[in-house]
Amino acid sequence: MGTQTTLTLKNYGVSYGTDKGPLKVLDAINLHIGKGEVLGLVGESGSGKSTLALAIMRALRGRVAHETGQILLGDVALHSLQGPALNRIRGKRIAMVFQDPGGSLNPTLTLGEHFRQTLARHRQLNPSEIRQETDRLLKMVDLPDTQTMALKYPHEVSGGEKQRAVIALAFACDPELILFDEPTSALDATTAVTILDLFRDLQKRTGVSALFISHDLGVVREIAHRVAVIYAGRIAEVAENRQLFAQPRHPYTRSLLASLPKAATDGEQTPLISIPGSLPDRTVAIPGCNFAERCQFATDPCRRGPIELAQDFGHAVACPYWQTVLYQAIGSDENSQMGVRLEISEPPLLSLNNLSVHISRPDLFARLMGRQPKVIHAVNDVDLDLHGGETLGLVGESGCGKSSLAKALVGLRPFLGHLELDGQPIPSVAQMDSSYRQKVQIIFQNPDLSLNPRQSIGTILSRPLKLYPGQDTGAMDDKINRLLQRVNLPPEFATRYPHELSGGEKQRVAIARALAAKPDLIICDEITSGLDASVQASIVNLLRDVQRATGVAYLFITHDLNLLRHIADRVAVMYLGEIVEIRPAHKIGLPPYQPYTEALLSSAPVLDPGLEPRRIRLQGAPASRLGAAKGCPFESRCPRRIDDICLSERPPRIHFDRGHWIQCHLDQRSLRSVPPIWTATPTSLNND
Amino acid sequence: MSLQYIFKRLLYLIITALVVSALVFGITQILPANAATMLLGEYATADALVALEQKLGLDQPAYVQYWRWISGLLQGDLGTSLRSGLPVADTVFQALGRSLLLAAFALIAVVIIAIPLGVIAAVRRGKAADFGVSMISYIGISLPEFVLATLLLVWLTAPDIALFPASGYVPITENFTKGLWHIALPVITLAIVLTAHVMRMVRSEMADALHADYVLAARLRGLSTTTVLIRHALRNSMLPTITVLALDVGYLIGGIIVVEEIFAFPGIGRLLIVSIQERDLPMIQAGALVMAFTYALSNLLADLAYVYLDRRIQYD
Amino acid sequence: MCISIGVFNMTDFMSRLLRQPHGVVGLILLVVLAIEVILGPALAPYDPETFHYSSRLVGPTPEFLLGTDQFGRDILSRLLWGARTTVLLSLFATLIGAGIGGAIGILSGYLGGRIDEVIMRLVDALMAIPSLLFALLIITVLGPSGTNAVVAIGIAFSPGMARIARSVTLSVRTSDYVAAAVARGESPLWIMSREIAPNMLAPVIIEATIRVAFAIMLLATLSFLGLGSQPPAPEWGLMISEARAFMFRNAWTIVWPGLSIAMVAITFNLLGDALRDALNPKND
Repeated sequence: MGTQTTLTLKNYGVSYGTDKGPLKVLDAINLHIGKGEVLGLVGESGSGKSTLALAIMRALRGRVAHETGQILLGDVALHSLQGPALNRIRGKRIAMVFQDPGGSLNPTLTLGEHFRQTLARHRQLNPSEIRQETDRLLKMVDLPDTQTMALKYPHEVSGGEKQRAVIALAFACDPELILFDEPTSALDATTAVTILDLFRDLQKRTGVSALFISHDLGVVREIAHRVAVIYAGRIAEVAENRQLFAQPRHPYTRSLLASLPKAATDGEQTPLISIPGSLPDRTVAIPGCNFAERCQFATDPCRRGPIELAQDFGHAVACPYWQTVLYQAIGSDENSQMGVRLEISEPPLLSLNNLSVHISRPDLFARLMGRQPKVIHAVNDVDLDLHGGETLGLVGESGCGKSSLAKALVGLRPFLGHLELDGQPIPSVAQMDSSYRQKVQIIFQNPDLSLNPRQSIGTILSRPLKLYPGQDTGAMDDKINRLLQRVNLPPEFATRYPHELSGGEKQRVAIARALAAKPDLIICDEITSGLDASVQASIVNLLRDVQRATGVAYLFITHDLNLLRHIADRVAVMYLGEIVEIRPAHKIGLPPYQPYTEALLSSAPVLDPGLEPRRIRLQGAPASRLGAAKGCPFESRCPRRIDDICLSERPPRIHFDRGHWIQCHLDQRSLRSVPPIWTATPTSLNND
Repeated sequence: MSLQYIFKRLLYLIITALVVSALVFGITQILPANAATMLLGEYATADALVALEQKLGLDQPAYVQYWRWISGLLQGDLGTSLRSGLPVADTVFQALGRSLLLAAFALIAVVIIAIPLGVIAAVRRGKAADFGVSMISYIGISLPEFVLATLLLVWLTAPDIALFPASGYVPITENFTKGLWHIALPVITLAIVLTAHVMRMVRSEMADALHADYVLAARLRGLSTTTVLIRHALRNSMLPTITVLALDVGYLIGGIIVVEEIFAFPGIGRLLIVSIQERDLPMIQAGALVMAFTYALSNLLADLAYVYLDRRIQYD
Repeated sequence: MCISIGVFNMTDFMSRLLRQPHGVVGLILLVVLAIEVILGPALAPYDPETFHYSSRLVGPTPEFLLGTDQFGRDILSRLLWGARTTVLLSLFATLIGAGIGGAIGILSGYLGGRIDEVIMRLVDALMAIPSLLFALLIITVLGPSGTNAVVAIGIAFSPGMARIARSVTLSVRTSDYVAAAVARGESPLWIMSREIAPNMLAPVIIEATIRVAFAIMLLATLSFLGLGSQPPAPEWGLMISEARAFMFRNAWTIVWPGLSIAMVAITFNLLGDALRDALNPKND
């Protein structure tokens, strides 16, 4: 990008005051963003990336102990600005977009009022100009019905529409720089891609510079010109987008990329590489490389330091030894090796037939008035077989009913229809006896909520052991130790409490609790979505190890299609309470696809610079789930909708190869006729 | 806000009124001495008692008596005072009118003083102003009305100072300044206690609102401090404050009972205390019911106002 | 007062409590109060009911540190003797309220459905009666006495405590760790006593602490109105009521008991707020 720079950070550092002394959140940050350039900033939780955005905005929260270095917007020294001078720049020359669009809009003001305030403040427009300008801005972000949209309150529009409005607000005063802090992380994948498309387009048209912060490398690859990788408050690597993804140099970047599930057309499952250890303690000075304790290549000089971010033809790396280790593979012995899969047993372990979950809110008033209570059809007529030893992935976006299904299977929600375990029919939740409950275990998404904060890890693990004694003999303590060992946790954890553990460790305890019952099936409900990529990798690897050792089956529920390619044997795709497709996982990238699966695949982030996804974008939001849908649940948003038959008739199930069916009104031939979702681009570079 | 929601809330109000009336009626039923004994005194003959009980319908089952009472109530007939022999309704509503005047003055004072002070404390969090407001509100919520009222009496009505009259009541319709002069001390007492409560709540709601993401977002759009404070933070913190104000009507009613007793102000609170001391059953029943209904009604109005102002809540 | 926070890290909790100025002040006042309650009668220079005819209604002197009342009784001694009654009765009233209300709330929240709805409608209706009015009505039935005042306040507190206990039960009940316990087939007894109850303790204790302050004020108010403790008990509210006729001759007879009531109420208000902040996970 050009010679002019919009933003420059010179040796910027900030420490927060804590009880243990100052905590260095950002350390010697040197970055610049050129005019019209989008700089992606990637890091895991605790890396300091959001603090950087707030530092630029001069809105650091908490007790700031020290601040060093300079932040320059053009030639304005932001770091020394205060009061009215700062307010003249905020919103006018720099704008910011936050993760949660719902949180950043005032719930008691209309969307139009947000624009009015900003436009009146910075551009001194009169009321009629403001109306015109608001209209123009809302049109610019492709919002429908701009006149009425301006009169709506934030809660009256969808999450995607809110984020569009927030982006329009950021562009309102034609700023030089926009800071994005995880702008798509709170949105569903199919909505997130449309927001990214919009920003890419607007950025090209306006030539604005941007800092785009995300934990998601795939999103950054989509949007950034250059990418900076931040680790524990220091920049590890900065490079042009394509170069970084094609040839990452810093061992941290390489590990991070290796830990991420990848999109690929087909082929073998590859293991995910986890990064051992955790973030360093930043209340003490780290003279050398701050990644050294977790780096497989680290030597003594790395720990002694000092380490500089060295430039090499526009590719900066904070590792003097990157070249020496470049051709050594990432990953060590402790990472699980892919083995031969266990035979999948026949007949099915768990069998669902026409299973539905309806949720109704009891309402005395409605009953008094003699009205039917509203019933939400969370799960509709699901047919599913799950075999012993297999992993069935269940994928869908928020609110599709996947968690309701999981809850019904462990007796937390009443269900309708047929459920069989080992050929034994279970007519209702009341018939789920101790043997059923022992065989079917569940792990929840958030271990902070699923582990009782008032119980020690030992107590938590002892409960299933007491409830389902099994044939095991021996002291309870030994059994607890063995369980902890099984999930790679030290025995002294038995006496600790959940709040003393990290997120990944807590999820391991939850896994151990499920394993204590010696189950045949574990339902994993989004169990890695709250975790960093490197921790997610270690959890996924642990699950595979356990499966190989015990032959347990998993129902693995997730919104991340790429992840399923690494763990699942078969994938079921759910939309609005119905399963619309079941297919083998290894052929996930190959047609035919159900149209919704196709859109979901197209929205999944791609890391490999050699792959380009075919672009499919969904409009609108899922339909209401009150009452039973007559036709296809996806009808209202389907890009391949035929005609009213989609609305009025339930689509037939079309069978393809073994274990692959699609529920759609399109015929076999038209379903097969689409090209694969990913195509390899010729300039693909190979590395690692 | 749907009509249905209002309808539902009105239904709840009726349920509340029924439960409270049954409770009040029930309590007066368990009393060791019934109305007949009270009218005739301890030394009445058994025959006279029976005769009077029959005349008053006290020999009938409790539910029949309750039904008679309730149906009378719905026709505006609250019975006759056992002591004065006057209709209860007239006495109660006259007293209620005077008490409402007291409450209205106190609430106005609170809104004018407490809300701005609470906002200032939240904005200047951790500063001297905040410390001052917090101290005053801790003292205010910890000082019972009767202590405060008695202290005010000691300091402001002592014979050698006599800034205010110690007791009595002059209708303001009769003599405005004299009326105000008489009402001043009860109002000041109620206002001080209530201000402490409301100030505390406004401070904490405002502090929460100032921490909200949309306030940060508004600041980062470079909006002026006044716009951010008034249009964004205050607007949102006012919503819960409305609910709190309604809840404080509960304290206010309690306070009114005590304050009226101390300043010999002939309102509904004093009427209730006197009736309890004299065991004037119809008067106790009516007084308690009217107070509870006022409180329930103020809560209902607050909820309706909340729903009207907060567009996020969609009740069905 | 013993703050039992289950197995939750006690030292960590104390350090959080002491990190806040109102926690420190509240704890200091609590210690002073405890000394007063435990050692009050031993520390009192005179018998609380002895008349000193020669020195009636005197202000603070070296002989009578806080002065005397209309019968020449030593105010300091009366306050020290009264501390025990006032504070213990308030604690007891709060316990009654927390016990009855807590049980109703947990049951209602746990059973859910129609039973819950009916109970909550009743509780809502009862909450429409202001506490003082409720207590007055109950005293009308029971007759004026200190014990009856305690019972009345306890009953008047129950609906509010039931409300809180229920809302806490509901939120704990829907948590994933309870779901996990239900899914693995734990007995209802285990779920209520070991999964739910320990997690309810904190909010209920916070509420109860603040209510102790309220109970003290209510109890004093009832005594003041002549509906609580009866003369010659050295109850603080009653002391003010009795001294009213003489207030212009010696204002100290009003000031000292009033100040005592306020200090105890402040203690529990400060402690309640400090507990709330210390136990709030948001303040990490």
